[in-house]
Amino acid sequence: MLIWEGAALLSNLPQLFPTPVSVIVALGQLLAAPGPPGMAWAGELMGNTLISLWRVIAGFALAAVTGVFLGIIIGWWRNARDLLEPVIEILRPIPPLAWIPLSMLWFGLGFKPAVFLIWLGAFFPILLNTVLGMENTPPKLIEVAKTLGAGPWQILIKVGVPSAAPSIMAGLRIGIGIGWMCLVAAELTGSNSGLGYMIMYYYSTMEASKTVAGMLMIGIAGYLMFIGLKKLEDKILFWKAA
Amino acid sequence: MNLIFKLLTSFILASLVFTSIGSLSGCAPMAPSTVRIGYLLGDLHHLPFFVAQDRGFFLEEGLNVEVVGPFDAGPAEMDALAANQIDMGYVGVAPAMLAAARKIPLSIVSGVNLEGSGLVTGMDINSVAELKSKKIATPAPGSIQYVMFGMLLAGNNLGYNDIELFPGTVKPPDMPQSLQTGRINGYFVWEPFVARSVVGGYGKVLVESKDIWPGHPCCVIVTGGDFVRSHESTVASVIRAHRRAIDFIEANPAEAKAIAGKWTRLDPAIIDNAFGRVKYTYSLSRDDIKRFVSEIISLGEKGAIKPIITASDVPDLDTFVDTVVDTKYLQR
Repeated sequence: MLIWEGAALLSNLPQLFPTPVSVIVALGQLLAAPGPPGMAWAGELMGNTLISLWRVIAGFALAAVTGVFLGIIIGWWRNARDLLEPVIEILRPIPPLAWIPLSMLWFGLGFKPAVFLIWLGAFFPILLNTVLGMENTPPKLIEVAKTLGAGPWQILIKVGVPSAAPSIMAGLRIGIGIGWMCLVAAELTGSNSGLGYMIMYYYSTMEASKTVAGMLMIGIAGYLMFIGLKKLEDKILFWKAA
Repeated sequence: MNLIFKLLTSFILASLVFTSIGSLSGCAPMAPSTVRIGYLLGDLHHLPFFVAQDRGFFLEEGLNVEVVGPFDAGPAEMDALAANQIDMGYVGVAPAMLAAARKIPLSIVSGVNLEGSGLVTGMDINSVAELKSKKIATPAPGSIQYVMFGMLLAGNNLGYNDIELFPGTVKPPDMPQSLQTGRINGYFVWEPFVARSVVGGYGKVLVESKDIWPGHPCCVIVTGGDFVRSHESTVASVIRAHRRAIDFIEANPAEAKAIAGKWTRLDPAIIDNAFGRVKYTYSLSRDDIKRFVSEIISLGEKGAIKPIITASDVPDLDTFVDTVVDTKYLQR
């Protein structure tokens, strides 16, 4: 902090390189300023953070449901993999940012395109980790289940999915990180609220300390979401923790 | 406790990364024979720059112009000026004065144009009062168009909270298409993006910026504070070439339009439509610029726009404007 403060003071370019003290002051100002339309009560910083969180949760939940569901199908049935893998492998390398113009055309401005981009960013890591987890189900476990008289659906639900659970959880953790990054990109275009928008706004008005304060909030919120997911993972995979 | 410790550790590491990046800024100035000039994306207001380049006026003044940009919006160009990435720039007077209020050393050395922006809406909107709750896009906060739109709202007893405003998140070249597809109900922007919707038949000019303030200042030429002190003759040469370009536009409008088409890649019909709304001039009015800054301050106080420049940023308006506006190169 001292090194940062000293370097910023020496550079004497507050509009390009704000000091940590000015960032802390900016955080206070943003907490006290009125929030975005409809959320004036929350203050500017918390209001925009809540809007961003809501977008991430919506996009991530969609990605979790679709990614895990498709991943189980592709990872368990060879025919499904042969059919869907080429399509997925063509779409997967396209960066979510390249979808921004189309997302605006399809979904307009604001909430929907942001959710679409977050879904897109989070979907592929969740899908691929689920596929990987399902494919790596130990054959011995399947054989034992068969010997004990389990049917195909029972084997899938009671052996395949629990066996893939650690890999699915890893995919969810990666997915939420990428989804958070996509959110900021989505809010820089076609939006008028959220942390990404707030950063762009204060960049335009040349208030670098408020821009950095917004960046800091993104980091803190992303980190707290990561910790939340890790705790959820420990609860779901209780046998792993034990 | 563990969480707080982890957060603090992350913050310290982030500080170190930030410090090392920040210390890399502040590059050495370029050799004086070359002048780096920035301009805005597809902005017809900057036609004198296109003409001076195209007709070789800069070369005839012994200048080697390195074109930098185009920039999406004025504030980004002012950041480039502060970071010593450009020496001079064609930019709106609002972002220039905003940058000066943020203590970025710069001088405004010439005018470029007056007026030349407008509010375009769909065919279903017939008055400013009907804009209430509508989706309206403007260039970045701190742009001329954002301020002029605030003036329009204030004049009609509206504020930015009455409109669903998208300042800076719909890029000017995307605005006509956004209107056409119904994603927004209108936009306030510079030419030629006003003309584009009009010629396309899906938008109309509800209000021209000259209706809000006849003869309002618009784009200017700025130069970095250090550059203008150490390269006086270069700045004077740029202004001479710029003045020739403006005279050329006045004397040869057809050729000027052809050059505009070459630089903006727009249909001649769009350029033709836009041309009538822009007044090219190199003259600078200190009084108009003072009025502009005081409008920005008062609009923020009234709630027509979010405060950008406040009275505390500019305790003495006269001295502030006199320090920034430098007309001596226009008299040479």
